[in-house]
Amino acid sequence: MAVNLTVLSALMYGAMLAYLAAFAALVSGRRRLGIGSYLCGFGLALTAFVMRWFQVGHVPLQNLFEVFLCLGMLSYPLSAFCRRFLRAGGAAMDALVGFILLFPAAFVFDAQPWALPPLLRSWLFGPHVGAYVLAYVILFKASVQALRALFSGGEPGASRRASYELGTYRLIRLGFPLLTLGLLLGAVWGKMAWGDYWNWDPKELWGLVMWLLYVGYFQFRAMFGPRYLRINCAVAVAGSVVIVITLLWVNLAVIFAGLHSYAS
Amino acid sequence: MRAEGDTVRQCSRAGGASRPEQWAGLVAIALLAGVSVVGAFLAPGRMRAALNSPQGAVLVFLLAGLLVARLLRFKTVVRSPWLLPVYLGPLLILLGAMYGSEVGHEVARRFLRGSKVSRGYMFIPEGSESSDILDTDLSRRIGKLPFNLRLHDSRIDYYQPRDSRWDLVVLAPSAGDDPQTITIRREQIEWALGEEASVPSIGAAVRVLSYLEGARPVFAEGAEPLLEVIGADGQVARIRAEAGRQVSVKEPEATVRVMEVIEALQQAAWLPSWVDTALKVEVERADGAAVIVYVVPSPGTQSKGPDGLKLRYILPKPIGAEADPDAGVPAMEILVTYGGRQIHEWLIARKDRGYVELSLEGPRRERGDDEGTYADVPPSLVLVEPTAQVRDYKSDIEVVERGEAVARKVIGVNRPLHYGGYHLYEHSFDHPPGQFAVLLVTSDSGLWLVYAGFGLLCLGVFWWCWAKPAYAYLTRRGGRDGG
Repeated sequence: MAVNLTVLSALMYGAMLAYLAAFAALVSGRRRLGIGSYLCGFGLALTAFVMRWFQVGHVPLQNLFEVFLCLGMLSYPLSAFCRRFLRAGGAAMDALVGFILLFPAAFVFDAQPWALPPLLRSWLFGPHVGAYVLAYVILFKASVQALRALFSGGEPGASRRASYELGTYRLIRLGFPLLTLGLLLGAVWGKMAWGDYWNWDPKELWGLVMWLLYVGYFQFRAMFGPRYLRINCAVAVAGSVVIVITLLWVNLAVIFAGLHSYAS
Repeated sequence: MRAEGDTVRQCSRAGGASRPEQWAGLVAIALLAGVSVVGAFLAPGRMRAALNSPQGAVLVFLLAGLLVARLLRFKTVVRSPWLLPVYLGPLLILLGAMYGSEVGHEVARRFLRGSKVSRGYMFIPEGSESSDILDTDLSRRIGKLPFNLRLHDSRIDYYQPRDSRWDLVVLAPSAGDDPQTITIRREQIEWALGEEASVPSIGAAVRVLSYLEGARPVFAEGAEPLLEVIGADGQVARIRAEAGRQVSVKEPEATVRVMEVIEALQQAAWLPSWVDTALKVEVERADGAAVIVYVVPSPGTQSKGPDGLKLRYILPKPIGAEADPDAGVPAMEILVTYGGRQIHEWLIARKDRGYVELSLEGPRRERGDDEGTYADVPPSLVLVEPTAQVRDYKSDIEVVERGEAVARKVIGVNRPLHYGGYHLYEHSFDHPPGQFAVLLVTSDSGLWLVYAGFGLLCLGVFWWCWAKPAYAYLTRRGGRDGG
């Protein structure tokens, strides 16, 4: 863990503090303070993201540091959208997730800016990684809703469970097209860069597993609706596990040899 | 009021999908996912080989068959927009993939008189033409392109270094297992102006006193390059080291003349960095015979001229450096603490050399008769140009058909050439540019089917997941407000 003192880091630490404060305020019932703090955090994170964009001269989605910075930045706008239109998710939990997403960016990953290597100099870079980043955040939120459904115990919790399950479904429905887009854009980019739209790379295969998992989720829910709530939610949570595997394990573990090794 | 999940279920029920059919779909999805997980742990080549085998081909056909069956059975498909592209898309992708696979090309060659190679490589020396498609080792020809490719130029583009600050590194000798070999380890020094930084490997410290981005050496007042001529009788004469200067010597009887001051000398690393000249000196004897001697500045040594004459090129050491924006190379003033001593030096770079080195004589050791270890090689500090980062690998290639040039493109990574049913990719990453290019060749058979499938699948998914619910939400709201 390394604390470093640049403007970018300061903005990120500030955003993290604001998210944490928002969580605390919202959990203790101080809604206006909580939302205000959350918005503050978003402002700081957005400034950091834009600053990074200018600093590196291209869309900052090239390494794990930048991806997690983006994820942390998207926390508030996504939360607002989902609460307003999908009636899913709670601001407190969203703020905490924002804090959690910024943590590795602020303290773990290497922030060294690097000029784009030849392989990443493509117009598809932004859309491919961007679609995936947004999809991950949404699907992660869905998993949180699914966990809430699973842990709302007892008979009195039944209607709450149902509403959490519906929220999970709506969030997965929101994120799935982005997942699809990310997967297909990746294939098109693969054709441009490596000569083939499918290379049997571990990252591609885990991406396919992730996609198929949610296809299976929709298929099962089409067959049975919200009746088997536990199974629906378990699949949604499993989706998060696969996201973590795809995002981190594939890049960082030596057992997966492939084309996607991150420059981090 | 119907719950949203129910809407989906009623649609699929209305489409006539029986429960067994739905289960078949779920099982197929689970199986595919399982195969993918297994595949992720295997080497990429194995999956590709497995799917191109007869058993693999059967599996793929089965999957395609499932999708076709689903489509044919579904009466609602025609009426329900969102289902058709979602099933048709993957089917087209599968068909395109099969057509474009190794097996697909093999089948086309055997039964459909196809002549395309699905994948291969090309090796083209600069200035030559070729149409041969080679295997991975570039050793065996596996096919031919229906046209020739000429390579005009292959090069690497670099980024301008964002931070123009030069790096400071230490070259530290260390013992290997074999006492005859010396390993030199290069380590980066994290330096900052005005601060003391530790020098790894040799237990020293360096403080950067000043750093000038563009700088030139500064000499002391009255100091100038001189040629010192020492006769056999010990008489010393000094003339300015300038072309045309000369001096007559009595013992031996000769005229010593500076012919030329050679600038931009190709250096040996043992010469101090600020030395970039040598003198071309002519010694003309009384009988008219002349000898050319080259005198290199090196403190303390003398060039031996003919007949006992000694020549010495005295080149003053710069006392510092001053800013010169046109110089294009930096200078750094450092204070090194090493081996109990303090060394105050300037590292002044020269334009045509990307580094300047300062040798650090360590604490002297008593040498035995058979000593001669790594400890005798002093470490050095080097101010070195930052390594440039590659921006792109490029090849300027031209398509030649029946002797006529028909297309030309500078291809790079992410920018292949698409011509005559093939994609041609830049593939020479390991080789120095300017000699030849290695290209990757892939057939585009089935590609448009695959892309059409991608488009349809995307369309279907976005429609079903975003557009349809958004439309329902908006019409519900409109109904509520209006009604």
